[in-house]
Amino acid sequence: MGDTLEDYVSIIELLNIAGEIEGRKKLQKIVYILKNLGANFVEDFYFHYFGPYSDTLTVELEELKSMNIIEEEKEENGSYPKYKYRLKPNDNYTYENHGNLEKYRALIEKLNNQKARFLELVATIMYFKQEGYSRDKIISKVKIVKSDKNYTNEEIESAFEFLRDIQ
Amino acid sequence: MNNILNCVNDNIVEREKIMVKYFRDPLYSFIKINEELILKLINSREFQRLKYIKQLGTSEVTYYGANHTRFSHSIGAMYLMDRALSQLNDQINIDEETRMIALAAALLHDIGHGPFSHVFEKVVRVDHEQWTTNIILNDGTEVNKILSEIDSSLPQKVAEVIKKEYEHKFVSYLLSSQLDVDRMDYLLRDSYYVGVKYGLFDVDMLIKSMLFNEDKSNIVIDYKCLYAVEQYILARYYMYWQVYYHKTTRGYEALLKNILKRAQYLYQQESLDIKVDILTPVLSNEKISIEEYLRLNDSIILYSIMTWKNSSDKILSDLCRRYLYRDLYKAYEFKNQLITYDRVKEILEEHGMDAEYYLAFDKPSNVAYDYYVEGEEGEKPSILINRNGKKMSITRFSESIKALSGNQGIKYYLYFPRENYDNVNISDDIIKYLEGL
Repeated sequence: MGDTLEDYVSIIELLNIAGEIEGRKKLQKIVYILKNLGANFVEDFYFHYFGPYSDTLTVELEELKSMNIIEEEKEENGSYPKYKYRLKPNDNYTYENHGNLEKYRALIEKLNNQKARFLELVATIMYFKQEGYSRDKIISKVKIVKSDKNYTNEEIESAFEFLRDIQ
Repeated sequence: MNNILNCVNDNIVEREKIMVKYFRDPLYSFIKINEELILKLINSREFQRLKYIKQLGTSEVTYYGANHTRFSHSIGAMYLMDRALSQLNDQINIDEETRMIALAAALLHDIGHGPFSHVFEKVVRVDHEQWTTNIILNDGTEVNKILSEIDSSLPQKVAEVIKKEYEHKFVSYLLSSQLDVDRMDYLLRDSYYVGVKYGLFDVDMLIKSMLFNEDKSNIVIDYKCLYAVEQYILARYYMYWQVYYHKTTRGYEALLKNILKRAQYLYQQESLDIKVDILTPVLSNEKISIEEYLRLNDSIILYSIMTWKNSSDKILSDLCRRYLYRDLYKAYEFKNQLITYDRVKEILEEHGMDAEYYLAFDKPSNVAYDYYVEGEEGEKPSILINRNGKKMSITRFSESIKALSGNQGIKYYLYFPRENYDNVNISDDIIKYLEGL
């Protein structure tokens, strides 16, 4: 234990590398995927309606906002708000990378270039893989739990391929 | 699954022979249960164990009435699930199989909680939801046998509801979402036992106003119920800040966590002088079997603390003494949120105290409960209000919830002892340092 920002180091570093992340869902799925590939994130995830989700991460974003460490841009149009996150210039804190995520830099950029919808699918498949389900079972599970998303077979196939590439 | 239907039909034919039980509940008066499956599950040893796990863990130290258990909450959640299904059954026919799976899932949703729930989870790194599904799916448990006797696929289906993988999504939604029977029951129950009135809301109105969305996968709330939803979200907000994130309770949790951490450390160093055999799997940090896990409850931990009070290890015995005699850590609320604790550690060490066990930082994201945060599309389903067929998030209709959502006035606490082992005051020095930052 050293300072109040200790638990947030990886999120701060993630935003420092990514520059800006558009959407809470995208941020959630990026953290989940990185954590599962071995990156040092402390947040616990469980399976929610839109794939793996961490309540802790949601509250941590609120905390970082209240500490003036991150900036949240909220866009109110349509039925739901949209959010963007980036680090806030701060005189009291310098954003030195601690090196935790340096080896994931290319992956972070790759993930940040994907659409949230696709990352939701990738993270969901990753979760079901960890549950020990076979490929066929994963596909049928995706079709049940994501029935409202209407993922096509091509999207599911490319999500499997994407996972193979990044693992 | 025909077996379930046969069983249900048999139940109807033989109703006179079937035992009907009335559970006297402080919130809902009599809960009548005549489903044989549910009565058997309640009598299972895994469910009975919940009588020895308090719903609010260490809150009892702050609010002495808060000693209700996960047993009563689980029956309450099942009762509200039944009422919600009955309300929704007017809109589509919910078959008996789905109903029984939903009731069983609501009843069993907390069966995997360990002693002092969330404290234990953090120290031992277990996930109660994972244990819940393990207990339901493991063929050595009574709940598994009771479910399997009716249909071999029943344990899997009940687990799927809890894991949100069940084909009838609305059942999972009713059990676990931003407006679910679990939360409705615990807010009302916690509020009742804690003795605060601000956790109350109109549960009857909420249930009466539940509607299906178009594809029957989700629940929306009729606009007429807007004020009851507002009241519910405010209840969540008040309970969060006044009860779940209460500084005294959280400090007590930190103390308990440090006791377990110290005992674990000593055990692994082979220097824990007072052994409590039942806790060996926990302290050794090895894989815990279901049998071993199900032996654990709050009383075992309390018994251990009482015996470890006499340990020859100064830190362990001191922490246990503090726990038993309410000599709690001092809670310091942060004024400046960006601080380093290095100097605080030094002060503690100058007084012979190991910061590893006598210093704790707490923040809302450490708390297992949450408050309502307005999500974005596809993040976490918002509470949807249906007004003339148009379904939108509650914040589109309610200025008060919009103002509240995402603007929570976060508080942080640093915990440290008031005195060292020789009863010399140390908290004054620490506070003086922190105030000067």
